[in-house]
Amino acid sequence: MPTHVELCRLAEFFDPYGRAMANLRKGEIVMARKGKQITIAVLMGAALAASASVSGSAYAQSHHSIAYAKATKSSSTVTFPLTVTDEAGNKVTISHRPVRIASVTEGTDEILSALVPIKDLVLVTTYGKQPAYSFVASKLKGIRGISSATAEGIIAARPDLVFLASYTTPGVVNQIRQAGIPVYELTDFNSISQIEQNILNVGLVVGKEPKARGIVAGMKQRLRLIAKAATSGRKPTVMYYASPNYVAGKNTTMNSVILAAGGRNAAAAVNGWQPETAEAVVKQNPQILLFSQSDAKIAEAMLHSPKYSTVAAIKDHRVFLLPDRDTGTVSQYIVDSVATVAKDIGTLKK
Amino acid sequence: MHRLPTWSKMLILALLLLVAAGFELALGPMNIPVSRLVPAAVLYFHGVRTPDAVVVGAIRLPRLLVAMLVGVGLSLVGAALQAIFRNPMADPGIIGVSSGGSVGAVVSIATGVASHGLWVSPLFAFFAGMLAMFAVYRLGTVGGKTSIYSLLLAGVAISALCGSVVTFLLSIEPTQTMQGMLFWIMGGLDNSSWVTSAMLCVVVGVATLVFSSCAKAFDIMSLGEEQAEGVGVNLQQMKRVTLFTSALTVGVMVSISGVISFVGLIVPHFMRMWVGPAHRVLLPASALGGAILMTGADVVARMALSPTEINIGVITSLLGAPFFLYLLRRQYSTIVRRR
Amino acid sequence: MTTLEMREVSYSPGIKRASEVFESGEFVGLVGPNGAGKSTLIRILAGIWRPDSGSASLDGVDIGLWKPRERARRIAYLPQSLPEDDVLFTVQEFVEMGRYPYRRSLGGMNRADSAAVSGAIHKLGLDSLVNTPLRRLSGGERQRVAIARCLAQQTEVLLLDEPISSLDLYYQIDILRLLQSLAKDGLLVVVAIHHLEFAAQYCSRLVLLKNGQIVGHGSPTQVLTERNMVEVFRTPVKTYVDPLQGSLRLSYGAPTDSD
Repeated sequence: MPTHVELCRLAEFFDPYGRAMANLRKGEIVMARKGKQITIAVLMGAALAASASVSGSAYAQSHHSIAYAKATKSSSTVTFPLTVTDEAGNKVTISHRPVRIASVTEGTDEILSALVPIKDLVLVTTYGKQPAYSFVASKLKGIRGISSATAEGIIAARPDLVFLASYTTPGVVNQIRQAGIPVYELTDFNSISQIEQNILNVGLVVGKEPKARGIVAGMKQRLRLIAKAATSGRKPTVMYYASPNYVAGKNTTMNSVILAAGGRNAAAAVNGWQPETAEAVVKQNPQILLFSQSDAKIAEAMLHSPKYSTVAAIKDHRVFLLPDRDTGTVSQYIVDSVATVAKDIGTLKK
Repeated sequence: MHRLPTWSKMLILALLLLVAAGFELALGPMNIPVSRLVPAAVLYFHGVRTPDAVVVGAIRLPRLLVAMLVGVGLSLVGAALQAIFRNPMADPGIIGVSSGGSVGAVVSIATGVASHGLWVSPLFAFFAGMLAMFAVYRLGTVGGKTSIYSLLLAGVAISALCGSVVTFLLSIEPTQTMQGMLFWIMGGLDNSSWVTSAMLCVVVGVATLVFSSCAKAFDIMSLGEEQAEGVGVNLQQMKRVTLFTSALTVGVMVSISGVISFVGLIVPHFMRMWVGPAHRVLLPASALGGAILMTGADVVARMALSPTEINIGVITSLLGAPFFLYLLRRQYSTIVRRR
Repeated sequence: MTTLEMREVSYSPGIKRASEVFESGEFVGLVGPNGAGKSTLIRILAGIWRPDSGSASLDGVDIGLWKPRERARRIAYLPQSLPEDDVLFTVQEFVEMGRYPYRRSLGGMNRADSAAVSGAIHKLGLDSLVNTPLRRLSGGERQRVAIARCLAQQTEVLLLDEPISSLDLYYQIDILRLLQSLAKDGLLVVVAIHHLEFAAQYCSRLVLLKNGQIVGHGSPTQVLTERNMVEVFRTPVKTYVDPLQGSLRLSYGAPTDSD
């Protein structure tokens, strides 16, 4: 069976003007994704098996080798009432182990689903309930969803602990605190290590610290597997491009995903998410271009635009669409993202 | 400076445009020596696709063209509107065409009809821009007289209304559509191509022809409607033609480069002070001035934080807003003095 | 030979069933108190406002049917309001605007245009000011420039709304004498005018307006009677003939409150 690259070359041979390319390229994208999903399954299976067989040792290893400054306490069992400093620097006192948790960030939707019994969640984000954007949508069915963080909407769920992100309006945070409900604010989702830290922090305040450590250990285990399997020596340059003209520079989740998958970020000169000119893309000349699936149209347009015709990724048709939930996740599922990307960029062979 | 003959002022403007265009073509994230620019462009048009050729031929040249054409279009429309409204503060942004146009563009994206062709968004932007401009004009006209302040207030109100429609559409749309929409509102030249240049060339060409043929009437209309009627200017026809052409031009420009404020306000006003009020001279001077301003602003937008790009609308607004306040202040003080 | 005719013209508010015939060679003064409808009548005659009922016609053709440019080649209209004091145009540029109805939308001035403009500028004594922007001119100079623009139109009919209101004595007489000579050369000149003695001295005919109606027309002595002056202007006068000039003069008494 020819690869999608070969298919496209074939198409180009018969249709030098590229008019018929659109459909074939769509085909290419679909095929690439199917291959990818299979890989995910394989990888996940492998990782699960690995973590199951070595869970004890892996857990011990991660516990010893990595120091978690904020979350690690002398003992692994937490006693309530518990007073911690959240990531925004505020003291939060939680009187008992929370059983009515409001999760108002997509990241905590996924993190909490793995930490606490689902019945302990009283509020999640609407994105967390959509399969396109969330890995845990099926689990969260039936739980009240909230689309924007409003104080009234959150208080109405009568939570005993609220997880919010630092981009929530300060007024909302204050109003919820004034209602006597403890709020834990997360501030940073821009790297895998920070996401691991978030998982540990969340685990601590919901009284599930060992479980959180287990999850993080599993992540590290899978990342090590990916790193080991990734072809050594050949690190392709990768660019993640998002509508309308943004690239993921350093200090972004995507940056650390690309690095973990064994690539180099072509847009490393950029800090954070920034708009970038066509010319800068030509200059940075990525060997691989990644898009979120919802930006398929932009990917399509770039494939056909003469502006990008010299970009290596475009010339070689190494343009990949990632499922939206892969590009958006800021939880333990970031590892799935890494696996997907590793497969796409070719650092990970079957 | 005032003693300079008109042709030499035009020459100065042309030279300035040449300099700005030179910077726009020579500067960029890619380091291409000036001596290689022309060969690279020639190579591009011979089908060679090296990075240098593509950057000059497919990126910098069309972008320069779009910047200049948008500058020309905005300034011409500004000059024409200032003449027919007898108001140095008329500007496509202030009298609602731009915000109306952005509603049109956003609606076409939100409803998905934009994907049917490259002309759909411009068409929507045109009709919505026209509608908004008409609403402002009607609201600003009391008893047959279009007063500066009622026009400005109506413009503010309609622009706010359009803004809230856009915000509403943004809030109910899925993220990816929303980002496409945000682009229209913010404005930008990065998606310039030969196709968009050609589209702009057509509408700006039409605007140039129409407004040039109105130049004498604009002169007279800028003195007041009674004067104009006395010498046989067909006021209704002139207003209709000007409004229609302005909405067409701005609509297409909004759908290509987003809303770019204040260029249409500053340039004709500044040129009126420099080359005088006769539209035979004012229109070409404004066209050149608009092209210079947009090209210069784009050089700053691209280079200030390279490789990141600052939105060009931000640059023009930074320049334009203080100027607008100054105008408002001056206008107000002359009115106070007269009373 | 040009005939400008109003038949039963009404315009709300302002004019009630006014009929009058003006012919070339006449220098007609429209007189009447403030608000009598002089400006409205001139605007209707100029084709700028359409009457609610009745008709205004030029050589038998309804003025409303003329295209603006064609109309402006035959009728020149001077609005009462002067060009404002922020106008940057020069005298030359401003007077050139009078050639608008003759010029093509693209294209410059031809020989006839230049001749008409320089002739008009010369007639109004503005030769030394041609390159001066209007905003540097005094009110009187701006008034003369505006009249020059009307002359540059080279029309058979001149309709001037208070052409001498902001001029000093010298130019008041100068302009009236100019208009008088234009009428003698065959133009129809209609002016709205407040200065009754000048009107009596220079106009060949007067039309007296009161509350939008024409209440008298004819020679100055027929119109400016002592009775009309009390009834229309609420001012008792004695009229006499100037022994030096032979024209009508007015000696004013105290205004009355009676209507």
